[in-house]
Amino acid sequence: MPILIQDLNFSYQLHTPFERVALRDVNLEIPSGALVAFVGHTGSGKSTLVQHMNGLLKPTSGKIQVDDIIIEPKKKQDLKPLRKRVGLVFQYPEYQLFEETVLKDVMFGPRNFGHSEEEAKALAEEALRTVELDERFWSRSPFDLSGGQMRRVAIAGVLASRPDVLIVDEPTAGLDPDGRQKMLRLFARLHAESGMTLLLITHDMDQVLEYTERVVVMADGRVAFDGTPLELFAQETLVEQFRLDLPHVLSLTWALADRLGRERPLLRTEAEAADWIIALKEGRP
Amino acid sequence: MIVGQHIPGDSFLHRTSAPAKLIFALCFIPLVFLANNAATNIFLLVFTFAALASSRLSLRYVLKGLRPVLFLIAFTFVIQLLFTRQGEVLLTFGWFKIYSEGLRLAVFVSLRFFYLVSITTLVTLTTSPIELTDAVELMLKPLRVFRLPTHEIALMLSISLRFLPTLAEETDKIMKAQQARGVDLTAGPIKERLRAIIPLLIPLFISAFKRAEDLATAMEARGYRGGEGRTRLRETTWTSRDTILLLILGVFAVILVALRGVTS
Repeated sequence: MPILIQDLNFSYQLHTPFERVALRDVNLEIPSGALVAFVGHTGSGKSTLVQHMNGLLKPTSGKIQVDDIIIEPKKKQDLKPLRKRVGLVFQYPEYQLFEETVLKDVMFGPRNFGHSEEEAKALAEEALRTVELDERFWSRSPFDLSGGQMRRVAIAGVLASRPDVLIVDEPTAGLDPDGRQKMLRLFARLHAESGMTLLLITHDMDQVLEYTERVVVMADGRVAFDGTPLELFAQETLVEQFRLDLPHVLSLTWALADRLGRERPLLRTEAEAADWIIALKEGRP
Repeated sequence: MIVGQHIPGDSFLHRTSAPAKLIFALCFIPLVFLANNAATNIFLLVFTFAALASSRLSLRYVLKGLRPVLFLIAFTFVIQLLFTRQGEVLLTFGWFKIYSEGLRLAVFVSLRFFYLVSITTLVTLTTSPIELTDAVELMLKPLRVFRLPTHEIALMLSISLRFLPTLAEETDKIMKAQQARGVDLTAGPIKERLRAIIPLLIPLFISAFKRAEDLATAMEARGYRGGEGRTRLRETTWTSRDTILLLILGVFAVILVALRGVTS
């Protein structure tokens, strides 16, 4: 499902003394099946932008088109079909759990989108397997689980509706390094296996470099950069201007390359970095 | 509803101290009930609009905020019109008659509502919640003689006010998260819509309790032991501005009483 955003502007609390412009003239085209990272500082408009993609917010001016559904200011329409196809996992999604059991909570989405009890149960079980939550937890109360497990239940709750587009807002916030790795691998696998469009909001540049093909930098409500991660990180002025960190793989290998007077290598993973360093040590070109 | 909201600014009203504004509002309320004829009401109307203008807030915004009370005003207007049976008959619709006295009372009572709501809204709009609760604590102080825990009451008040926006934000977030999972809070039969509140309320309660617990722990960790011997970060000082406000109140009261004698 391609997403097309044209001249989008959005202000919070329009026509009150608290009015605040959150998005300015945003134009974006996201083809079906893409994996795009959204980065930028707190308040730069990333979260506001993605909330437009399933109709939670409506533009003040401009329009968004998701497949054949068009969202425009003040247009009245049934948004359920759109929300079924565009899944949104909010930051700290574990706070949205409410049901008596894990399974029931995951079934909540599919039930709302019109699936029968049995279908919803099948979808929920599949989603819980996808997020690798052990079957013995399924009949427990979600509030008895650990924070990391609760988050996986919440993510399953969105996956269960089988969206074509999945938007995840800082899914690794507050997790330990191991949990972060596992979470990212889960999304990468989902994207590779199902071909769903995946939009990832993150502050972690290592994730951007390793997992995504395209990165959109938001600054002050505008799209400030749109290109591949290596294009972004190669331009020191941009990285500094947006106050981003350099991914560890690049900061290490580039520092080495500079010291040795070599060309900076374009690497994406730790494994590639290790190979490059070994090659360097053994004196290969 | 904008009652209880605060819009920062630096007009005369913004810079007068909270206790002065509170005293002003508390005296204004009974004084409004002295209005008994056209002259006093015109005076009050002018005074209210002058007060609104002096705050330098957008008049459109303030008046829009009064909209929720409009229903109440309309309701009392109709009640007065229907149930007063004095004076001359102005209009007759079958069994139902409108009397001149009824119309007079209906207009006056509705206006009274307008003055009261405008002035109290104006106080909260121009005073930050923290200043307001400090003022409440100050004014409750004499009641400590009766062992009333005034500090605790003020603390509870300021904590609730402090967490209102946080809770509103949280509600918005949870609502959006559930909407993304297909909950429809704005359409469908009443029964369905009531059911849709459960997925909103449960997470909200859980996080509110968690927040309360965290706050209590944080306060204890920093040695909070109640109001005994506690000093303040912000001392309220009485300035000439506050004296001026109370002088205005005095002049206002005198004129109001004088106008009561005017026969229309």
